[in-house]
Amino acid sequence: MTIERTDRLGPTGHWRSLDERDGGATFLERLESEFPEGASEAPADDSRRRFLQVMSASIALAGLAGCEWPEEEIVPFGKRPEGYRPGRVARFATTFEFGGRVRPVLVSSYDGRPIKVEGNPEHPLSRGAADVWSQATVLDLYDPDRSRSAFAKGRGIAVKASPGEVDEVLARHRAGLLEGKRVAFLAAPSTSPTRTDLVRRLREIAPNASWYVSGPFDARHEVQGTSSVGLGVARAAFDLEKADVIVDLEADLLGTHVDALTNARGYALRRNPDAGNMSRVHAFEACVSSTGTAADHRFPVPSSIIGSVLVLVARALLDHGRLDDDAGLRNAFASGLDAQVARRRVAALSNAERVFAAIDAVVDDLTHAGANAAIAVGMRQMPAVHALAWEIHRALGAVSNTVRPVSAHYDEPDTDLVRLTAALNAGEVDTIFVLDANPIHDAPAGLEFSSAYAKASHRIHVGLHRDETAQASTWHIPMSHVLEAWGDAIAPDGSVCAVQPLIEPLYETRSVLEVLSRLIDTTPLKGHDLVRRRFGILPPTDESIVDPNAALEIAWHAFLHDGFQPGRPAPITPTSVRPAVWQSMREDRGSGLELEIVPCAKVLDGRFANNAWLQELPDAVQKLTWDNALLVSVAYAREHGLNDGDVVRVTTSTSSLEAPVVVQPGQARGTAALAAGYGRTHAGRVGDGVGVNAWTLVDEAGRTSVAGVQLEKTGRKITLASTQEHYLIDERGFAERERRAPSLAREGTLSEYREHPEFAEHRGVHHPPLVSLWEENDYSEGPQWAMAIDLNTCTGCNACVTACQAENNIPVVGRDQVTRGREMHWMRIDRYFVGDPDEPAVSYQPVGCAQCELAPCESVCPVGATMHSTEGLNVMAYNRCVGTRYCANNCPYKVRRFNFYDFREQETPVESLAHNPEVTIRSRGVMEKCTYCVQRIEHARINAKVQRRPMRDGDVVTACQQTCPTQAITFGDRTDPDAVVTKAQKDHRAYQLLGELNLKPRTMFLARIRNPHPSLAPHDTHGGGHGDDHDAGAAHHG
Amino acid sequence: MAITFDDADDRLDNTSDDPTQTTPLVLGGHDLTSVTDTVCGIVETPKPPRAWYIAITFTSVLTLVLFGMITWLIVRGVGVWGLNNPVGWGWAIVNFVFWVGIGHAGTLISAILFLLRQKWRTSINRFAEAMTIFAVICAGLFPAIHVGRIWVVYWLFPIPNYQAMWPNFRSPLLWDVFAVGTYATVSLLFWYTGMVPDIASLRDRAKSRTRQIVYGILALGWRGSHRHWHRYEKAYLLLAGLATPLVLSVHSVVSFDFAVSQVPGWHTTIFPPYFVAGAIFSGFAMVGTLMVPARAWFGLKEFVTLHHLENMNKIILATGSMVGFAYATEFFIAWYGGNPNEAFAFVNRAFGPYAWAYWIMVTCNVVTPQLFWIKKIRTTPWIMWILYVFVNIGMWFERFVITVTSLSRDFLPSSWDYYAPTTIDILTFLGSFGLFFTLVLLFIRFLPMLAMAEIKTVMPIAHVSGESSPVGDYHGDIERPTKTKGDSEETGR
Repeated sequence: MTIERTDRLGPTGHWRSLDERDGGATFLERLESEFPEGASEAPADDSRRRFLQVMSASIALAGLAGCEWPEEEIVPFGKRPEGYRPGRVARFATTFEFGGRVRPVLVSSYDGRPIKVEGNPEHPLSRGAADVWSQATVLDLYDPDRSRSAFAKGRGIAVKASPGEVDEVLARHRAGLLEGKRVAFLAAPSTSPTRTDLVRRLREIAPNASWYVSGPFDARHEVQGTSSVGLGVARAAFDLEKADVIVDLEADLLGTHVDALTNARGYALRRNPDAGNMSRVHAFEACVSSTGTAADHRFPVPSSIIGSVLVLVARALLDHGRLDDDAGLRNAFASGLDAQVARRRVAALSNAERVFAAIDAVVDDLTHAGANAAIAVGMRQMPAVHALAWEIHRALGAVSNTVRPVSAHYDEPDTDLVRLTAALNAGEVDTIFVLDANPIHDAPAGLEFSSAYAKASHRIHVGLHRDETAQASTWHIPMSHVLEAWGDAIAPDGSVCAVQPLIEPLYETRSVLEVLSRLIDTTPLKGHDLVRRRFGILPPTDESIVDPNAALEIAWHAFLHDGFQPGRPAPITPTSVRPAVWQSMREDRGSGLELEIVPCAKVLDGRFANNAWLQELPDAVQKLTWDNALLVSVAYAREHGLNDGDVVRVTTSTSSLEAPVVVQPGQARGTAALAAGYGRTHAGRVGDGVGVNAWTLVDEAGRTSVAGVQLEKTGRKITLASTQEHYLIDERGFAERERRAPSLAREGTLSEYREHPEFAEHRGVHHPPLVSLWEENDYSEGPQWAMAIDLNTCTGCNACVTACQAENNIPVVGRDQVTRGREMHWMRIDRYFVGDPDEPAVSYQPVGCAQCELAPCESVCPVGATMHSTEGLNVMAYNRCVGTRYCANNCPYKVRRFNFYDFREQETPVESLAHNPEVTIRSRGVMEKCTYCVQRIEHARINAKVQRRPMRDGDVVTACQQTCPTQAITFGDRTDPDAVVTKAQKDHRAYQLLGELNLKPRTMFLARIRNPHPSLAPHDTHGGGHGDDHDAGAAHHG
Repeated sequence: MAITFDDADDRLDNTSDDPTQTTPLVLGGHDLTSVTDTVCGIVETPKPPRAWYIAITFTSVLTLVLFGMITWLIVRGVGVWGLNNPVGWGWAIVNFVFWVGIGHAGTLISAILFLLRQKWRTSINRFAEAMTIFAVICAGLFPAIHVGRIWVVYWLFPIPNYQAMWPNFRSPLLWDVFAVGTYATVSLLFWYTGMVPDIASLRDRAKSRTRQIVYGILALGWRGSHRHWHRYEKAYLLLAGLATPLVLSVHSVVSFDFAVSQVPGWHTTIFPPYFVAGAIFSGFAMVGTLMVPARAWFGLKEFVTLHHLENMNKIILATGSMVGFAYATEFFIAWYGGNPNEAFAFVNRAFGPYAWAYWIMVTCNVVTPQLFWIKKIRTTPWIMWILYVFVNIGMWFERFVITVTSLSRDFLPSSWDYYAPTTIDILTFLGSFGLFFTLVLLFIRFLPMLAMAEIKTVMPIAHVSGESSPVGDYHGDIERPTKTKGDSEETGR
């Protein structure tokens, strides 16, 4: 290996091109600018071959040894191992961790290749649900842009390095560490006990090593706030199942919050209008979030005012005087909190009156809820706001009931990026290891991290991709994907979760733990051994087994099998109270337009930027794909003549960038928002150049709420790839949409529901008795498949959309095709804004094929490619379809998707490994649509037959149903009177979408019920329908 | 003689409305021989006019563009067009309906006017029928290429196969296959049958060996014997009887593509009569568009007289008014029917994002034909030609408005989208005009443009045996002139 090349020609005097011989500028440029992409990598076909070798080995090993992972060597697949049947799905429990989120998952693997991620049904925090990121992670494994081999760079020339050379270099750095060289480590936040253990050992052996933890949108402020009120280095975790009242202060509990899955589940359990204990959610936020749309009341408030709102709430609670323990709150007001300042700030809002009314309602609700109240504060809020929320929780007695502090030692206060940058600039770092982080992209621009980074003479990057940080490093070591690596994590409930590989590493990669072990351990260990070693420290759970080794062995197997070991949260060491925190609440945050930089609900902080599923996922609220956009309020857009797609120049006090605008109803006046995670330059072929990088607007303090922003029209306009029509359309279309929305996504208030339980049915269109044109088939014999979707708990989180995409091999069509309206998602989530554009009611409605009994698509197909099955499925014969698209035209739900092109044309062999073998890959020119996961139905049928029993309710679980965090989707046999779906369809709230067309859809919706506070003007629930006069004799309702 | 579109010469004006006067249908003092000479002369000139060469070069290039676009479409996929998710049918279907509509005039003139004994049809029927065939060819192209997998498009036909898979007889698209297929077959037969005696004339006059052989084969051994004439008349009458219901059925079935669906704006029972009226309207406009220049360029003003053009304009006026009435009825029913989705579909047409298309349609189809109330406009070729072009544009837009506006905004507002064509869409449509005009030009060059045998029957000279009126008689007495003239030639001259 040659790190440095002084001479223009290669060592042997050979040259690869004329350009190289002459030392041409372009050649050098190419060498310097980037690692030669795939320079000496095997061609794509070979990677498939390599894959097959690996695959056979992993099957053999998995089959032979269950969950054990012994020696990692290739065993030829000469004989079929016992217990292994080709094509049978194997499921393994593992855990994903990203951005502080611990997600216990269950991964399905076909013939050794992991293809589908579901939540771990055993784990109490997931119960089978998985978010979009966990589900899309499987696509990252097969990302053709993943880094495949190590590269070293000296004098700007990058050279490929072998694993042996990487070992040598790591050994050299280990020697350096022991010698006392100044080595810094920057790692993403992680709860891994093995990593914690390694870091502890690192500090022991290398006194001059420093360990920094930083990731965008980390919980640092929250941890500071929590520790300042004496609750330790911790953050808040909620138990929303116990919460009567939830106040969400920009925390987005159900969306981008670290515990969103757990929260969503708890929230959903308390939203049943029949149970009599329906909770109430108040949301204060600038930018419309999932939680804001799910809330009973949402108040648009700039991020900088949210603290003031909470101060007023605290003041009012104190004044009411019915608190358990108000000492903390009194102290806070005594040592710096000022309700007058807060009142002044709120009064300056354009919707001040409404916010004051909201505060009164919140105080009323909190007083009634007492210990059953939960206040969640967003991570972008100042530490004092978090501290205040804790004090209120304490005063109400909610701590360790609805909310509890959980250890957040991975967010230790003195290890942040600011300090690292300072150390680098001071020349205190010779060598820096960046472990699975990308600070060159996501460090706040004001910090000027890149120039500081360059000051370290050895910069070693360990990551999945040759990303921006890899480009700026002297060494790049490819990292194993989480599905290829061993590890562990600690969930907020204290359980230790297993990270275990489902496949041998596809390329010459290693995990962060393995890299650390090479640097720290005398004898470097493999990932498995590292985790196993750490596991030995944990006490075995079953104490009835005498032999400690045997007990440990049994526990280890259970750990791998279940994917976790139940445990208690580690006790948190209390911290000293720092009353100084309250002073910060007085700081003025500046004036003018306020820009909120928010995590993206799709690519998060940019780590998923090269994931095509996530890039093409329509944002829950804007329905935007393949871009981020500056969200401005409707009022601002009208005032400044802005429309969707207008490019504006956003200028802050320190920097500026150009971004397209999206007019966002519900965006707080005086604010704009921009999602982070875009504008990547070295993400890969999917993520490069998508959107703009919000971090360039952030100052050195890392504040993601920037005041005094200027917007300036550039006069340019771009077409944004949105899957739903824009908010601002022509007047008539707008009015019609407003008129129709209440009859499509139906909703009412709790009191309305109590008065008229069947109100939902009356919100539809009046129509004469419906008569079928055709002789109807008899569908009384079971099974007859049916689905019910409860709009009451749908939060628009998109988990079902991604589950469907993964399960059904749905192609990604790309930005251009989305702008042409050709996205392929079988399931989409319709979103409607109703009412005041400043404070709209937002409704979600997941729509897939409803499998109409009188399906309009079937009668018009000239070749009979779409027909009805005896079980009531509207089935597609792809190979019979000639592609007239008549069925799609005639489908009133518009759920049919046409393959306008061969959308798999560009697919590499590695990418095609992600396909589900049970679902056909559709060719160009054919129509496709939701099948109710017919492959899962057949799978369940075969299983039942094998077990010689009839199919039971719950045997068939569709992909969307399986993953829904709030379990809004139910599915089953409608002829079974005890089936969950039968009951759901007979619910008072059940209605048919477009029932007036006499389609007899098998999917029914359950109307949403809002639970507004009586003192607040009834929320603009869809006023459509006709109120009380629903007696109209012969008129039927749909 | 300079070519003018106008008939300034009073000699050519036979548009008198005086009922006591019988207007002659052929002017210029032609006798039987000169009719043959004039019509055959166009085909027999060794060199067609330079304009013909220029025209066919231009249209051939356009045809090549069409085939180029189709090739690209087949290579890449339907995505090269502007279609999207709510709008599954775009320009291809619009063009299909447009061309099928144009194809209606031919059959109407040949069959219905024949059965109704409208003698003035004889001068224009051949041309109109040819145009029908070519329009149906253009029309048939589009449904075939618009499918996603053109290589299996034959599955639309009920071809027996070992899997016993049949097409779905409930689908209007299948009815389309039969309706258009039948129409194309009958029209072709009708056109060809009517042409046999005239081709025999060309054969007899042919000087070159090639012409003798080709026309000889095409003439099917026609010798003009009484038996031939007898069978010819029977066949022609039968075909006319067969074709007559087709005039009404084809476009009714085409309209079912829309009416049978449940898309608001499509799902309406007025469509069959409305489509048929629209088709005749557009068909006559297209005949006029071609005929007005052709009669000027090829010296046929004495055969295709102002009287003929005026009659066509009257039909355009009548059918155009029906179309206008249908537009009004649609709106009335949308309101009266009380279906909110349908009401919105029509309001959206007129005032939504596609309002521009709607008002082009209304201007061209409702306002334009009303100008034909004015006799001056009705009888001035250059003015009527401009109006014909407007009608053609309007009728294309009518199909565009129906197809696209309804689909772009149907039931769920979440799925609404805007459709815009791509360059490929536009070039394919222009290319279809290339194909159409190429075929027309080839027809003009190689086949008799006017039905000589039939024209002769409406000339006064055909009625020397004492009949007072040259019109209002039975078509089938064509043998009489040949007999009375003592002409023993074997052809039908």
